[in-house]
Amino acid sequence: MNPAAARPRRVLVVGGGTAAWYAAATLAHTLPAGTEITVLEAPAAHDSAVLQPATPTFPAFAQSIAALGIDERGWLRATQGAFRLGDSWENGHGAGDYLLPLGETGAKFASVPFLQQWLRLRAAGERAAFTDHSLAAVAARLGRFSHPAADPRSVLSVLRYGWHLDSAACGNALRAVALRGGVRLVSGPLESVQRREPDGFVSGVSAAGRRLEADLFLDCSGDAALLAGTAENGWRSWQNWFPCDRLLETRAAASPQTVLLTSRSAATAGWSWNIATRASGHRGLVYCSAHLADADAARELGSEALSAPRAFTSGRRERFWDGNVVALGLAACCIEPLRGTDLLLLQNAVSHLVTLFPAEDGRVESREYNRVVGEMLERVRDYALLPYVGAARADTPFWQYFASLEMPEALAYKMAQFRARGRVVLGEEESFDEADWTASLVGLGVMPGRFDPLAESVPLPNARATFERLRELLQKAAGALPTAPDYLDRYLA
Amino acid sequence: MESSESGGRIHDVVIVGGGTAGWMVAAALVRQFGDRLAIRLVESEDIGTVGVGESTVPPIRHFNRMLGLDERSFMRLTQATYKLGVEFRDWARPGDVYLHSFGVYGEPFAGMPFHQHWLRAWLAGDTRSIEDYSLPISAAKAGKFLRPPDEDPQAETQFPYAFQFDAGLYAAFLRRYAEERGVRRTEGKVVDVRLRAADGFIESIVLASGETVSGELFIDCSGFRGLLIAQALGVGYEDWSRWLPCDRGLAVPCEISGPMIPYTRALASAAGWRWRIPLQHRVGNGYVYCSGFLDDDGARRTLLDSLEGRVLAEPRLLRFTTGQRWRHWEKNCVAIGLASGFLEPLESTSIGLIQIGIMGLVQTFPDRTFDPADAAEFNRMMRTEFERLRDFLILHYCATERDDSDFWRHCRSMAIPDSLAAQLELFRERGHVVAHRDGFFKEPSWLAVLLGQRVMPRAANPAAHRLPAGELASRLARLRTGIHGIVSRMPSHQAFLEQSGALGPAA
Repeated sequence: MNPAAARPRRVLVVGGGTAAWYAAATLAHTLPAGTEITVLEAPAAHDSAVLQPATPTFPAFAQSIAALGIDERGWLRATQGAFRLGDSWENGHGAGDYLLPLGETGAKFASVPFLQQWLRLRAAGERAAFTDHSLAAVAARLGRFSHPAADPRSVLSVLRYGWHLDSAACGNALRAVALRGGVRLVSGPLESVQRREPDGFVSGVSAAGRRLEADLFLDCSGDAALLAGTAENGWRSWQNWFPCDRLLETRAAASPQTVLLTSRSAATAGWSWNIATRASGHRGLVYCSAHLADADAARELGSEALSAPRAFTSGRRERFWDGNVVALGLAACCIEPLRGTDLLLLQNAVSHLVTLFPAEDGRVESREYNRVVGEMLERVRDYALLPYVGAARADTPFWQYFASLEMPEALAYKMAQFRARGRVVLGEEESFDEADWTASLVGLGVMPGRFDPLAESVPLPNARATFERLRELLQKAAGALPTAPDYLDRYLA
Repeated sequence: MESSESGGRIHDVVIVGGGTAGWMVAAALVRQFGDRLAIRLVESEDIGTVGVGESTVPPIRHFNRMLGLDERSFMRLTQATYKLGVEFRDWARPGDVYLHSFGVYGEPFAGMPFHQHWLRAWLAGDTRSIEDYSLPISAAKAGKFLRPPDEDPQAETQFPYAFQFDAGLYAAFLRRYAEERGVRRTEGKVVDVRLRAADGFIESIVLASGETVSGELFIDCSGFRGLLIAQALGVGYEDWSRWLPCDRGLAVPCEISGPMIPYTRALASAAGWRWRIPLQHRVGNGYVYCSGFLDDDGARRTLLDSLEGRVLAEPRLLRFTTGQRWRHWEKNCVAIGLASGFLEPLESTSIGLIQIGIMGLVQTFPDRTFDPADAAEFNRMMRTEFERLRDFLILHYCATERDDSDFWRHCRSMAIPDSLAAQLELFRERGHVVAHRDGFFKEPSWLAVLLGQRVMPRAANPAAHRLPAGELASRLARLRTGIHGIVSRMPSHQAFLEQSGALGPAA
């Protein structure tokens, strides 16, 4: 038996935008010669993976772009990209406004996590904010940036960054990469789908007056889910957790808050965002149509919307991989963009697809893929849900709803563990690590009732001095960096 | 915050039972908490200890480092030898030999885990074993050892290792260590356990002498019988013998013969398996078997006939039921060691599980309010460890082609947990090993045992075929040559023990 004989040789990607082109570019870069990858591209009103017109990314996305052999300078030029060090959140009331930096906060010393030592000092009356010990947070407040230092002894080596990208430009840039990588393009809308008996596998599709056959199909058609959305494979709504279902966008001037930060602010029935790419500022509102009429949302937005409200429903497809169809992007899952996780979800899903690319008909692989991607998605869902369930705000019916919301079990457990003693319990498929969860929970004002008694193995004055030194070190290091716009201009010059 | 007030903090800790588990807990707690805890350990010289272990897994080095114990002194004190892994003989088929080391195979390249590249070459007819790409396995086969450099964690000569040592000597050392630092040892047999009427928490234990020992937190290290967790608090036991039917262990030391090899041996036998653990001054031997398939006399004969040297003590028989407590932590009692569950020592995890229990306890150390969240998390962690390890052990039995005894015929046809069945199917289909965050044994270990048990994949990940065949061959050759070169420069295990000063006084 030739072990490589039975694997799928022809992959047809249906749809366009970031989901289709990211998947096609990655597969073209990963699969062996002799695999034919075709994208059937049809014009669509919306992107196939990203809800917002400008999107934040997380550090791992930059790694995946580099792994495709794409140079960062060219990429940033093509996508209007700017650097990003975290998120800011305002008007949450109660705990107040906070900054959520990328990367580690503080450093472990005396064998307990940094948080435990910070809690101990806090109990002793120290007032320094948790984020004062994060390089990303300190640099973002100063509006300063540079790439992380390669030398692990440098304090700058701990910096982690993402980007702000123009979503449409991101799709186009990936399209160019995929086509250069040998992906074939067929243009035209999908006309019909042929399935074979008795297993219902897709045998081919008709488009642009011809029939396209393949062994494996990727549904990257966004909400439409042209292949994956069958009667037997429906949409499991998560609207009970994410009641927001509309998005309205407009252009905005760049502001100091949007340098290096994805700026978000709680609104009466949802939240608003402010994101600056290199080229322009983007502003918008995500809201719940049951609590806010479209007309009122337009008024709340303040300036003229660029298009009609974009409707969506947070949730997931029952089976992401069904037969020989793998749904990616919004055809597979949708988590409202409160944490800007669209590209992260896409990246993780495609990475699992590469790991489990079928050796034959994919029956064994699809089970594992659905399990592992399902778990990954649910942990991201829990992370995205935090700002709602952790919110202190209760001045409108929308925010009051969350006070009595029944959380997903894993998130309830996580929060109870954190409240008990600042323990971060990570699941098997986490996309966010201990540092992310910690910063997010502390930022929301979810405070542990106790701290690790081992934190007290260091005498209080020593711990205090170490913290002070760390803050000074970070201030000095960040203060010496160039301002973010200068750095970006010079980098791309 | 409660913990900043001394009123909320636990002060009195009572450990019931000495032995390896009890003294490891005592030493770790006194090292970490110093005089902020008052630790008492109650043990009876009338009750023998099981003296588990002897063969360990690499985290023991962290434990020793945490105690501030340097490796050479530790090895001299406990008559220890270096351990690069476990050699499994006759498991899938009589005559088969494979080594499960603690290290990785090769290195990932071209965006793929190494074993997918190896698999591609193997399926195309390259008959070289994946073991040729493991530094510790190659060193073990050559009987060699050289301690990897502490100062350079990235060095190509790095690999994880553990020890084989005398657990009795180790427990004696830990006792001295703990007592010197303030742990109070009380000799005595527990005759009663008093519970608080209000909530059923343990209030005190009563000794045969009439003395009452009270405390806030009780650690049950009393072994199989679970004096506190089971007998006093009534926490039941989850029985796993339908998957792991061995229920007896017979242990006997003998004189050593031949060179000192740097690994433990596990030999499949008619109704279970036999161990061989080489120490400096003797060899530990044992037979783990299923009483349903072999009687104690038969096991004794088989074991004694297999010894390489003069018997040094009367064989000791242990009875056990594989499984775990439904809850490892109940009320104000935390069970660590055999009181919390038993998994046969096939992968040398007895001491490792004690250590995981200790680490878990430190991470969830309660205060006087006994927040249920602490116990919940401890129980979750321990259950996950036990269940993952259970699946890993079952793999050794269920993936066999042996049909030369009723025992092995039973093993190859028994039902297995769904979690394990899914892993086997994925590996057979495409060599995929599920990566778990939790659990002691990671992908390289699963890979070692899956391949060692002849679970051979039908195909590699298609993405592994991207690399041109010539480039694959030269990368594989480079890796083999690199390992061969490193091993050829290593001293023999015996020579390294001598020159590093790790040899203890001759027994």
